[in-house]
Parts: sequence; C-alpha cells; structure tokens
Amino acid sequence: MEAAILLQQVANGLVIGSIYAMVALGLTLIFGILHIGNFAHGQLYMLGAFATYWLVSLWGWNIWSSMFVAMGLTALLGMVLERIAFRPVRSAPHINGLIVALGLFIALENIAFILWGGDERTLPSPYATKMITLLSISLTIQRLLVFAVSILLIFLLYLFIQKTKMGKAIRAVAQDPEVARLMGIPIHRVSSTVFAVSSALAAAAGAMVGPIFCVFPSMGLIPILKAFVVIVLGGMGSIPGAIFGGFILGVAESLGAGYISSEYKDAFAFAALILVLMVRPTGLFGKE
Amino acid sequence: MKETPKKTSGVFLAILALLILLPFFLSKAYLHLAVIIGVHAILALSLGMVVGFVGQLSLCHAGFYGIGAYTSALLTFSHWPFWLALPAAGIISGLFGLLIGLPALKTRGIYFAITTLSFGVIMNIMLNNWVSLTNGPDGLSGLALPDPIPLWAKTSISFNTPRNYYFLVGVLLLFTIFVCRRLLNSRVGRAFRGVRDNEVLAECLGIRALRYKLTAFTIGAIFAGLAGSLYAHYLRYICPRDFSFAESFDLLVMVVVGGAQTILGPIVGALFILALPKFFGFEPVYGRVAFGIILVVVMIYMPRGIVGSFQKGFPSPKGGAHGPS
Repeated sequence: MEAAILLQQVANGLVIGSIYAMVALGLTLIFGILHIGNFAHGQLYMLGAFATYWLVSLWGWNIWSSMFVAMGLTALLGMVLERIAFRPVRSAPHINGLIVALGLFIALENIAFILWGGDERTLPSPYATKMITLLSISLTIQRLLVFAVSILLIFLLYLFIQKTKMGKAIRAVAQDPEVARLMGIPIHRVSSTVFAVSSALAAAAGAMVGPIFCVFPSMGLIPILKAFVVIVLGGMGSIPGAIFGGFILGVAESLGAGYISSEYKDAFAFAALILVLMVRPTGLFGKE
Repeated sequence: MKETPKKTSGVFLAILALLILLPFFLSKAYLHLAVIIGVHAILALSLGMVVGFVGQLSLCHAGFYGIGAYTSALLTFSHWPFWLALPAAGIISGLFGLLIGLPALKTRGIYFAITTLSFGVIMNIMLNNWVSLTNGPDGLSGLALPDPIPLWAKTSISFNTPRNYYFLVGVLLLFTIFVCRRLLNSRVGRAFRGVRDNEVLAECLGIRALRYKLTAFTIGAIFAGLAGSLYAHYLRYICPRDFSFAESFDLLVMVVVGGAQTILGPIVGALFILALPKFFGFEPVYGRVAFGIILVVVMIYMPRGIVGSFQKGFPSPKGGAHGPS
C-alpha cells in the first residue's frame, strides 16, 4: 500500500513537473539570449490557455487544433512583445529588463481580467474524466497526455536547438552575443525566434493544464514563480537544467505535500532552492 | 555633477515648508493617501539602500516590512507602548535582514534576486500559516494607536487624526533621508559605490564586499521594519496580503522608476506610483493596466529612472555595442 501511494505521488509529480519544465525551458532560453528574467512569460501561458479555451468553447474546435492555433497566436504575441518592449532595453542594465517584464506581467493579467472577468473556467476535454490504471497508479488520460505532449515538445525543441542552423545561432548568441554578431548572426532575428518558440511552448503548457486546473487571469503566477525556481536550480540559461529541474521540482513537491505538509507545499520548493544555492551559488547545472 | 550645498538646502527648505503646510489644505482622503505615500517613501528609500547603494536586486523587502508590522502589533497586544514597539520592530526586522542576508548575499545577480524572492515567499507563507501567532490570512485587527506624547501641563500630542499621523510619518521619513545622506557621504558610502560598480576591483582594494552588502541589506531591513510598524498602527489592521511579494515588486518598481542610486528617486517613485492611479481616477483594473504599460515606457525612455534622467552625469549606455539598430 505504501509503495502504491509513493508511486502515485511520483506519477502526479511527473505530470506537474512536465508543466514546470515546459514553462521553465522557454524562460531559460530567453534568459540565455537576453539575460532578462522574463516574468511576462507566465502570462503567455495564461493567454495560451485562454486562446485554447475560446477556440474550443466558442467555435467547437477540437482540443488539438485549438492548441496548435493557440500556440501560433501566442508565438506571434511573444514576437511582438520582444520587438516593442524587450529589444529597446537590451543594452540597459538587466534590472530594467526585469521591470519591463513585470510591467507586461501586470498589464497582461489585468487586460485578461477586463476582457474575460475573474471566473475560473474549465476547458472542456474528452480526456478529462477517463481514468487509466497501471501498476496501481491511476491517472486521467488528460494527465497522461500532459506528460506525453511535454516530452514530445521538449524532444522537438532539443532537435531544433541541436540540429538546425537557427538552433546553432541561438546557442552561439547565448554563449557570446558580441562574437556571434561579428560572425554575421542576425541577433535580432535570433531573439525574435527564441521568443516565438518559448511563447508557443508556454501556450502548449497552458492549453494542456486547462482541463485539469482552471483557466483564469492570474493562473500564470504560480507556474512562473516555480519556473524561476527551476531555472535557478538548474542554472540560468541551461537547457538540461530546466528540463531536469522541472521534473525534480514537480516530484519533490508532490512527495513533500504527500508526506510532510500540504499547507507548506509551496514553501518546500523555495526552501530547496535556498539550500541548493547555499551549496552551489550558480545552480546545479550552472557554469561557474 | 556636484550641486552647490546652499542651493540644495534652499530648495529642500522650501519643499519642507510646503509639506508642513500641505496637510492643512488637504481633504481627508488625500491626507490618507499622503500618509500611505510617506510610509512607502520610507520603504522605497530603505530598498534603495540595497538596490541603489550596493546594486543588489532584493525581492523580499515586503517580508521585512511585514515582520516589522507584525512585531509591533504583537508587542502592543502584550501591552508594550508603541514607542518601544516601534524601535523593537526595526531591530527584529534588522535581525531577520542579517540572518537572511548572510547566506543570500553569497549569491550574485539574478541568483540573489531569486534567493531573496524565495525568502520573501517563505516569510509570507509563514504569516499565512502560523495561525497561532499571526491569526493566519484573517490578519490582526484592533491595533492600538501610538500613545499620545505628553507635553506640558495637560496638553499632549495624540495621533488619532490623519494629520498628526502625517507628521509622525514625515519625521521618520526625514530621519530616513538623513541616514541615507550620512551613509552616502561617508567612507561607508564610498565603499558601497565601489562594491556596486565593480565588486572584484573593490575586493582587490581591500574593501570587504560581503560586509558592506550585508550592512546595506540590514539597515534597509531595519527601516522597512520601522515603516511596517508605522503602517500597522495607522491602519490598525494588518493581514499577510499587504506584505506579499507583489508588494516587494511594487517597492522595487518605485525605486527603479524613480531612479535608483539617488535619494530623491525612491521618494519620487513612491509618489508617482501611488498618486498616479488616483490622479487619473481610473477603475483599479484599468489603473493596473496603465501602470504596467507606464513601467515599460519609463524603462525604455528613461533607463535611469525619472530623477536619474534629469540629473547631469554620464550618458546612459544606449547605442553601445548592442544598442537598438
């Protein structure tokens, strides 16, 4: 019985962790290119969820095509934000970029509130209620899909970063923007692409959790805070750090909530972060 | 760069006179706003010591503010007079600042920001969940007003009107400004600047960077605690929500939008951020949207903050190696 509960908690943790990983990946990519702690990323997750919700409930699209269109729309928005808000401050001190991100975070959340109100809506999904039981673990198919989709997207992103020319350019800019520019890499197009890819990933995460949790204007806050914890744990700018950090945090939280205290669930993540940074001040996978 | 002291003190005295006369003309609602702005000016100044003086991006300042408020509230509940609870709030907050700063300041840059963010979140979770001490999310109500200060015979200064409270906050604000000025124009202040501008170089010159960063962080926490006490006994009701990390962000915004690295900046920031929505008379939601957009615009067009961009000095590094094309 004990082992069954443990397995169940780990499975739940992996599902939540895959959400953290998807949001954290985008965050770490953006940090790698622009050195901005992009808080507004949490709102792209929220807007992705809302876009999917409206496509499904107003036009009756199925959840997959809605999710893809939502990813495209959010990617577009990410590119616009990069162009009008983040690019002008890229040579200013990093704290200015952070304030810009906070400004967008506040503005986008309240725009969503004005447009759609504060109600918690549930994204209808055919997979939300069907359960699957395997090795004494029971999960809804939706939760299983969250996990599967995130693994797929993370794998596609990995291919993109490692195998394509643009991916190579992204890595080069992350390493040294100055030199990358001298080598003729179009640095603005790179940062624009990074924002598009990251935003699409956040939107996919939002769309996938819509049927499990709820869709509402302030839904982006907790995931973005956790994603920050993840990328700091994993080392800012580190892609494997963000992926593994996300899953580790999800499982750790789930176990902590199950075995220690659910009231202090959110405190564990932050306490773990502080402990790790005391030992390794640049995160687990961070460069010295 | 250097202003003539005579001119500065003349302007300062004129503003001071204006601020002393102001409460006699303000309506009650505006007096209330003025008190809140005053408290936040103290908070922003104290955060400015960390962000502006030593260049560390702290995101747990509202935690110290909250610790000050709760310390003062709980002490007066056990019959301490306000005038003892106020310094006690500062001392306890300062102790927390020291305890948190010591490990946190070993990290740098964005890592420091996220470490302090974590401490801030944890402090808030404790205020919410340690119900036996803090009464949880419901907060503490029925706080005492500051005890009247007896003067001669039977007269005394009481603090039951916003106007008198305005002056109390004003006195503490002046004290904060005084401490900031003394800090900046001293050996310590020069060390602060050295640490902020180039930590490695400062260390090479024999400046113990960690010690100075910790000094600024702790003094900042002390003043945040004092502001917390003032806030608690003004509203006479406190709850954890007032001290969440959203408040920390707002304080950071005040400092940076006003202009870090100056003394006037955080005060102007507090005024700007708190008075602006009232000035437009927006619905709160629309006000927040405008607020967010204004932050973006100010940071793009005034990278050194409002006060910073009116000061002569080195030009901003715009148009450098990777400036906007």
